[in-house]
This record gives sequence, structure tokens and C-alpha cells, in this order.
Amino acid sequence: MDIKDAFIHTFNTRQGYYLYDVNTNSILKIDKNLYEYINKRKNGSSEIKEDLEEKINKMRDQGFLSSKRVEKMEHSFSSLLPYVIKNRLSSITLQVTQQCNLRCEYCVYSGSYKNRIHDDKSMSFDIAKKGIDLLIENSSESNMINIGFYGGEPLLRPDFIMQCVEYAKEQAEGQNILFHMTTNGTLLKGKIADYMAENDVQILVSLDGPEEIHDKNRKFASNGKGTFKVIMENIAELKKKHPEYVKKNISFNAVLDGTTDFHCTTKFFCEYEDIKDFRINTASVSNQYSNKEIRMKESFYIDISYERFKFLLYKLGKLDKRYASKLYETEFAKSIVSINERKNYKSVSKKEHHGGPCVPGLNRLFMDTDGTFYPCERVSELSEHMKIGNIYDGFDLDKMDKILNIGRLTEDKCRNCWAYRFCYLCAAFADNIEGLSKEKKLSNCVRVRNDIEERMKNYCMMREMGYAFNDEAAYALEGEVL
Amino acid sequence: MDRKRALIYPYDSESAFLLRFNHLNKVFNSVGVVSPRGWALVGKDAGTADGGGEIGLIVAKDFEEYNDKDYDAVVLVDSFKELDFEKIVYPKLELQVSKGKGIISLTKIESYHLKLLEDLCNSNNVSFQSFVDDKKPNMPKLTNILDIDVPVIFVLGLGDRTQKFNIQLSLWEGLKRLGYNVSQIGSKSYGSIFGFHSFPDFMLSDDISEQNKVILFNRMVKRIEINEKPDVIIIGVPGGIMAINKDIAQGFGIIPYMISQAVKADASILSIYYEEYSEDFFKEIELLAKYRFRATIDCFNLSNIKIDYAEVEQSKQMSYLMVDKAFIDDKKNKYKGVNKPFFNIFNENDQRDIVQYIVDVLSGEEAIEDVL
Repeated sequence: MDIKDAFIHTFNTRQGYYLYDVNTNSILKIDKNLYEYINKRKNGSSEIKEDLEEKINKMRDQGFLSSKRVEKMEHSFSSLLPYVIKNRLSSITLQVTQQCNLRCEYCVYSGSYKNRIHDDKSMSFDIAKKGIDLLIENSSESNMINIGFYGGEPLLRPDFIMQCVEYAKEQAEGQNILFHMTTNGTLLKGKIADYMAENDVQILVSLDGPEEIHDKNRKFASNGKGTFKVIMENIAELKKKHPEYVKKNISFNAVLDGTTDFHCTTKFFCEYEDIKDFRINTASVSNQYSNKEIRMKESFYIDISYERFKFLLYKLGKLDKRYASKLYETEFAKSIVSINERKNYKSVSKKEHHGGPCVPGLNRLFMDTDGTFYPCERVSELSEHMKIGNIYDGFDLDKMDKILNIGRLTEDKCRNCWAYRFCYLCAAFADNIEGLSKEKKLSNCVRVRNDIEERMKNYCMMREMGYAFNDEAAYALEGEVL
Repeated sequence: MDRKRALIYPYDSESAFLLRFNHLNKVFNSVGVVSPRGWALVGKDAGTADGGGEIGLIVAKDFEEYNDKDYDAVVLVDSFKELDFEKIVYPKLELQVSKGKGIISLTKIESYHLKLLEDLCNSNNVSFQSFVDDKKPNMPKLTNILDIDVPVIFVLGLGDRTQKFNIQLSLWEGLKRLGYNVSQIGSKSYGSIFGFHSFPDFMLSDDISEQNKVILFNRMVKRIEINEKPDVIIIGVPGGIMAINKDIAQGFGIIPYMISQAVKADASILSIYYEEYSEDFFKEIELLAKYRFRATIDCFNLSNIKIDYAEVEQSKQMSYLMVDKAFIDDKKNKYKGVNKPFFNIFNENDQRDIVQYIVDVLSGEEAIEDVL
């Protein structure tokens, strides 16, 4: 077999030359001569170098450099969907209301996106009960069930939330239930805040940074004023009354607006006294379903890259922790540690699906105010393709199958894509409301491959610099964390 | 002896075999099942729990759904999901004991809770019986292995929840029906309710060395051979034969390894999780069995449980998906290229066929009557 046909991808860092072997999911460090030779051969050169061919043959003998490709894009859960909805539902997120007391500039319901807009529709308790019953009734094989409250702003209806929590607790005897809520935090006070603490409800509060950055986008609908001060007061009060609960269950979600000053944002989350101990998730302003292109200032991009660089230096022990932004802790785990934790295989299987799609209904089922089901809360409620059933008629297995096997749309490309195991494109990336579009999905591929290559490079660079990926886990055995 | 009429609690997939093989139970007659509401079984046929087909009993949410006159005891069982003993289990048992119902335990109860339960039963003058083997053995002085002269059948599994116990009960029943004198060590710690030996507690002890466990198990089987004079010994091997990957250790196959060093199997059945396996998988697993366990895999059982690898990776705890028996019947036919038969132990024909197949395997060795 010719090296030209091997299912591989080559890349290099400043210090090393690498070959990613797709079949075995291995990253092999190789010498520069071999690296250049393989690249030339893959680019059409017919010059044969015997000594390097010998090395290639040795690698083949070790099980690498196979040309085998996936024959068919098919998710391993495809034929199991009827059983997923029968005994493995584990989550439902209820759209408590479509109303919101804020009008955020970049909100997906603001009218700037191909999605529903703010409305006064609310979920009836009868629909919520049916949703909770459906979850409990079909979760016999789930280790735990999650019930989430989402909006609009869910805390506009505190009594409804309390009713749902009490009902679920009563109905789910013997099952572990985790309640969670995404809120803007402006109404998280008084009786409902105490109730959240008593029931260990995990809360994700939207907070974008210091006052001037947060208030740029997050404003009250009633008077256009910023919401920062109100949120901070509520969190401080909750922390005073329920310190342990807050420590364990409250985290923040920061939407990074590329037109603001990133240094201020990171400084705020790492140094601001009332905030610095919380867990922070970050997300960029969403491009998906957006009516206009979301752009980032160059200075913002440079700042982000610099903070990322500092974080890697901290991980390598070359920079004190106080200079590293904790906003990168999650990104480091997701993008670099995950490369270290990848599984090895003998080869690709005949039938496989690229990474990305969640099994619809399995972990993130979302139900809107009318009782319509969606695979998660991030897809557009205007898209018929994302409506995977409803509380009255049950699930639509055909639609679920199409969402799960979105790789079929682009099978010819995906079969030959070296990055398919790490791909993160799901059906939402192909959804243009009118349909699931091959072209729309493929328009993301260059970005995804670049991103995955960058993650692999960073992983290899960290190894070259002596970062020991398994040290933290080794100490965790004894209850210590480095 | 009349068997006690009993309600099983807390009922789920892990105790469904008690209903499927109720006729073999020598201690109690399972007349009903009670499950916590949150386990998604209440109001459904009890067979929903293990996906093995209808049983004909509807799962109740409380003991009160049964008439007091219709049962004598409550059987406390192991379950797939843990239940808070003090908050949920004990209050329910307290009420049952106050009504004069006896307690039969098939699960290992923490000593503090056990004392609580025994005291409760004593003060209400009702019986408390535990069938969990916890006998402490005498330590062996010699370290040699004694040959077992009658054929031994291993029932192995790729992991937990692969229906090993159903296979053992099918073999036990089938071989007896064919007139064989069968001795059996079940993979559970309460095999005695079916008239066979429980899996010995010493094999799970932290205080006994691995070497002594091997010797003790060897002596246990030898004594069974001497005392019971069986035609065949079935050994249900608990847990999984190997770690499946970095996240799924399955006890690293250590107990199966110790058992295989104590006793050599003449025939083996391996029950595997449902998955779309390549033919190479079976070749490799047969080699592993041969060199690690000195065993030949004679046939496979395709269970109706699939591991959800993505969820295990994320949550770092075991996560499964259950399919039904018709699905497995269809899938097992796809392995015709593998040169070993596949069975689905929930299929009634397969329950019969697996017994005959194992008899044929063992009979095949009769060309050589003995190796001296």
C-alpha cells in the first residue's frame, strides 16, 4: 500500500514533527526527514527513498498508516433510539416562559437571530407535569434525572418552579434528581432564593464581566438600565444566607462580546472579591442562526490569545497562578486534556459517525411552553427539523434519526476527513431553518479542522515542554489535587 | 415444606430472575413486586425491568397495593440503583414488620442497619432470615491445587448485568431435567435459595491473600465433588473478565482469574454486552480466555444491555442502555460468521438449546474417557 493512501494527517510544532494516525487515533512523533518525505509523497511526489520506506514499513508492521476508511456514516445509537426514549431519558429542560425582564443586545430571542422572539407565552403546570412524568416514566436505566428551568427568564414564575420541584420530588421516589436553572440573576432573591438553596438547585447566572461591560448588553426591558448592580446585590445576599449552597451550586456564564475589553473581563472574574471564587463558563456571542456576521475586534482576539498563552505557561509551572486567567481552566480541559484522554483503536469501524451529535433526547431534551420537544435549548424553535416530537404525540423517531445521523448529509467528505473523530458539528450547524443543508454544514469544516489541528499542536507542545498530563489524577487518588 | 409467599422489594432488573425462576426457589414464592415510583417500573409488567419479556405480574408502588392476607414476608434484594436505607427502606419495612410480615434478606446490609432490622424483627416477634453467605473459612496450610475430576462449566461475563445468573439457572434446571446430578456455585451470594452454593464471601474479602483465595476456592469445589458426587459442576463467575477500557475496570477480571487458577473449566459460556462487534473481537476474546483463564469459550450469550461509553466517559460511572429480547434475537443472527453459537437467554428456545449445546460439548470429550 502506498503512503499516499494512508489515512493520516501531519503537523508540526516549533520543536517536533507529528503524524496523526486516524485509524488508531494515535499521534506519532516522527523525524523531520520522514515528515517531509511523507508530505511530499502525499502531495504527489513519486520519488522513493528506500531508507524512509523501510521506516514506513516498520510503522505499518506496528499497525499504523492503514488506509482504511469508515464505509458508512452511522451513529452507534441509530437502531437504539426506540430504547433511548423508553428507558434512558435523563433530562428535561422546561421553557418556563418566553417572557424576559431584560432586553440583551445579543440575545438569541432579540430578533437578531432566526429564532423566536420574546413573547408572553408561559408553560402551563399541566404541560410541565406531563413533561416530568414522561422523563420519570422513561428513565429506568438512567443513574440520575435532571430537570432544568429555562426561559425567557424562569424566575418570572417562582411559584411555577416550586410547584414543579415539589411534584418531581413526590413522583421520583428512589431516583436521584438534579434541578438546575439558567437565569439572568436579577430576580434571585427573597423566598425563591431560599427555596433554591433548600433544594440544591444548580444555578447558572449570566454575568458578562465588570459593570461597564455587563451593562453594555444586559439591560432591563422596563427602563433600559444595566443589571449588574442588582445581580451583585442578589448574589451577595444569597452568599450571606447560604454560603455552602452558593459555593457548591452557583456558577456564572459570561458571554464574551468581541467588541469589549477582554482584559477587564478576565481581571474582573479572577480578582473581583465577590466573584473570584465562583466557577465561570465562557461563550462567545453566538454565530449560529445569526442574521448578521458576528465580528471580533482584533485587539480582543490578541488579548484572548495572550491570556491563553499565559495559562499554558502557568500549567507548565513557568508563571505564577495569580497571573493566569481561570477563564481558561475549562477550555484547557476541553481542548487539550481531551486530546490526552482520547481512546486508542485498532482501526476505524465499518459504520461510525463523526463526533458532534448528541443522542437526541438522551441528555438535553428541551420542551417549549407548548410541550414541543427539541434536542436541546440551543436550536432554533422556528426550525421544523428540530421539533422531535411533543408531549401529546410522543417522539418522532425519523426526525431524531436524521439529527443523530447528520453525517449522512456529508458522508463523502466525512469518510475521508482526518478530523472526524474530534469533529463537533451537530445538526444545528446544518440547520438553515428551511432544511438541513449540506452546504451549510460543510462551510464549517475548514474552521473545525484548523481548530482540531491547533488543539493537537498545543497538546504536543505541552508534552514537549514537559507537562505531565496524568499527575493531577495520580494525586487525586490520595485526595490531593496539585 | 410450604414456601413463604413473599413480596420483592426494591424490585428492578437485578431481581427479575427471582420471578423468571420462581419455580426453582426453595425458600419463598414471589407473589408480588414493589418498586420505588422513581424507578419507572410501577404499573408496568415486571418483565419490563430486565427487558426479557412479560412475566405477568404488575409492579406495585407500595406494599399497601397488596392484600395483607396474600403475603407472609418481604424479600429485601440488591438493586441496580441505590436506595437510602434509613429514609426510604427502613420506614417501609418497619410498617411491614408491625403487620407481622417476616423479612428475608438477599442483600448485604451494613452492620448498623442489620442490627436495627434484627432488633425490629425480634421486638415484633417476626422472623428475619439472611441468605447472604458470610461464613469465615479456615486458612489453608497447603498451597497445592487438587484436580477436579467431574466436568466443570464456567459461566463468564464481559461485565456486570450480562444475565449470567439467568444462564446459570437455565443450565441448572435444564441439566437436572435431563437427569444429571448437578452441583453449582452461583455467581451471587444467595444461591442457597435455589438449592445450590452461594458465591463464597471469602473471595471478596480484603483480609485474605489472593493465593489463599485460590486454594480455598479449589478446596470448596473439591469438597462439593466429594460430598455431592455430581455429574457436572456449574460455576457462575461474578463480575467481568477484563477491564473494558481505561474508565471501565470491571474489577480488572481479578476474581475470574483467581477462579480459573483454582479450577479448570471443561466448557465455558461467555455472556457479552450488546454491541456491534467485529469478528476480530471474538478471535481476541477467545485467545484471552485461553491464555488468561485456561478456558475455551464454547458459546456466547448476547445480553440485552449495552454500555453507554460516552456517558461513562463523561460521568465516570457505569451507564447502560437496555434493549428488548426481540432486538437481541435479530442481532444474534448477524454473528453467523463467528464459528461459535450465540444464544439469547431470554429466548425460551435458546434456554433449552444452550443446555443441549453444553451437553454436546462435554459429550464430545468422551472419546477420551479419562486422562491419567
